[in-house]
Amino acid sequence: MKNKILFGTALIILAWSNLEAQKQIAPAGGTPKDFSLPEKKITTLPNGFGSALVQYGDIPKVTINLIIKTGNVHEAANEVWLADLTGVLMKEGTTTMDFKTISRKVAGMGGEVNVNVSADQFTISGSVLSEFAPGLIKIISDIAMNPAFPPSELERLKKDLKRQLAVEKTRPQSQAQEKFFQLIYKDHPYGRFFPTDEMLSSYTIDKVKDFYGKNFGAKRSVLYVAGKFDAASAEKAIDESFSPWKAGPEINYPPATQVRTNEIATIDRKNAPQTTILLGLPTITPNHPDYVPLQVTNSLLGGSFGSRITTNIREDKGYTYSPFSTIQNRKGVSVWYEQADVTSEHTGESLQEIAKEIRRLQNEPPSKEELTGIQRYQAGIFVLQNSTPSGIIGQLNFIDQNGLDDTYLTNRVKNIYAVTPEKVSQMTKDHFKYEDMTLVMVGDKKLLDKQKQLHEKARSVK
Amino acid sequence: MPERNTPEYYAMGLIDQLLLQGQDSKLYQSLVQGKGYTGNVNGGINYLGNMYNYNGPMVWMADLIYDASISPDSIVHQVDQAVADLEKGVSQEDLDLAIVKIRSQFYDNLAGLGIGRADLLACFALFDDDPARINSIEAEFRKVTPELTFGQPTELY
Repeated sequence: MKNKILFGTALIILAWSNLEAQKQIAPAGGTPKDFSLPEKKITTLPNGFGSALVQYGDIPKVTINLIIKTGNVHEAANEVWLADLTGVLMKEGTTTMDFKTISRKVAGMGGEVNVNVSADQFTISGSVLSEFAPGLIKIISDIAMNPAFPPSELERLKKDLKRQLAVEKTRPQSQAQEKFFQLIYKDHPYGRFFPTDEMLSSYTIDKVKDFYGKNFGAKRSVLYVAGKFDAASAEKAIDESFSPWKAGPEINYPPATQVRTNEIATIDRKNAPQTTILLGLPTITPNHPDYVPLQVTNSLLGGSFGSRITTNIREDKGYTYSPFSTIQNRKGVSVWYEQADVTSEHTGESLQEIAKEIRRLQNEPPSKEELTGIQRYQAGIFVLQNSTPSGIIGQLNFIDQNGLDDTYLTNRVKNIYAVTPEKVSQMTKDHFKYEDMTLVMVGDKKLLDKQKQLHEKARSVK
Repeated sequence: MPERNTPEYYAMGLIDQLLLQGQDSKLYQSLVQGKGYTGNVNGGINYLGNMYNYNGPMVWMADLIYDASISPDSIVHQVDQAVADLEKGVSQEDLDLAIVKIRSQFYDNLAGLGIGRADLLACFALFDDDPARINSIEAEFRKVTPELTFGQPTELY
């Protein structure tokens, strides 16, 4: 009896797991369609103002981004975040509409206006229901062309920036980035991440107006409109709103020189349970013929979840949770780096493992199988990046800012799959020499000093 | 949050828009613009998704970073004020504005990296056995009246 019950149970379990196994087999994926670039309409107004309109998708919304080619890059050494202050003040209102009015108006269109400031560009943007494209274009133009810079808001906004500064400086990742890019870019704005409180206090409305006046104008500006919208009324709104703008200054990015150093810098964070590692070096720029191979190599080495470094120090060793590598592009200069928060006592070992993975990839081309997996990932991500209006705008802005043409996008999938295993190894030899990399560590200095030998050993991994 | 798919649930969606979503919201206007306690106030319904793709108990939540020199009571006071404003009554105009915003946000949810619509259809099929619900979401928000919203804020405590 007992045997029968056991046997019966076993059968049921088998049948169940069979059922489970059957449920778990997903249907085969379809063949990926060829990627085609959505059509765009490019116009330049007499004052130099550019626009690109792209009809895309069936969601009844439109995304509008105004890019002005200025940012932190145009700050003097004692003006760090003056651009950011300018940005938040611009959002506060125009000569005809205050913040409350603007926010209520744009809310009525189904969105809001944001002003974002980065090293190389200001972005004034919003995403609204399709029928309001002309309305949003007008409001964005008003903010860009007629900012009020209300003095009443200055102290509050400076306080906000000081709060932001205080929070960011507590983060070891921010501290590591600040030091790392300081080492590589020295006295160029790309190497200046944080102001001091005193600097922020010193900014006046006049300084902001001066920065704005020197750096804003039609020649430096491009408007992107993507999504579902009526082209004719959008074009009319662009013409009417932006034609009156002064031509303004030419596009003019101060060239940056990169320092190549294998210096090791340590920032003390007493009793830190983790060390934040930032390891990298200058690299080739997007207009270099080997840029796509560089991206594929980066993906395989550290830039994807299944990458060599991640599989090693996260999956296999458990030293870290979210390591990643990436390429940072600025105007005419690029940097590759790997960043990871690793258990303090395993910092030296983490560095050795990273060095080992780099060396292994240099000496041994990846298998066709592994490489194809990465290529599928890169190609897939690229298609996804082009499947939303803001993604498309991002791609178009990227090729514009990096002096590329449409072929970068139209040939991208083909170029990704053209990378061979041998090319990956060659790229690793040429562009990922561990012994040349700048290393910044934020962690417990006493502990890290004890591990110094391990760090140096990583450099001579064969 | 009230139980999913009830009239109160949809009213809460609109209350979230009025209180917290967007720069025109009561809390952004008072905490950021008015009082200057913070540079941004964040939050809503379901931090790990949207108001449609969860099934179970849920909180409406808001978060912000403020200086240590400000007492938490000052911040809670502003929230109380904003809620009290809603209790006084919500105009049809305000409701209509909230509906425009939530409709726009719903479209964003559908777009969501190309998979938003699939996600919502899957959730409605799994949770409600009714994927076609996706077509009636907008209409449910339009059913919310000023009187129904008026009853809501006291439920927050």
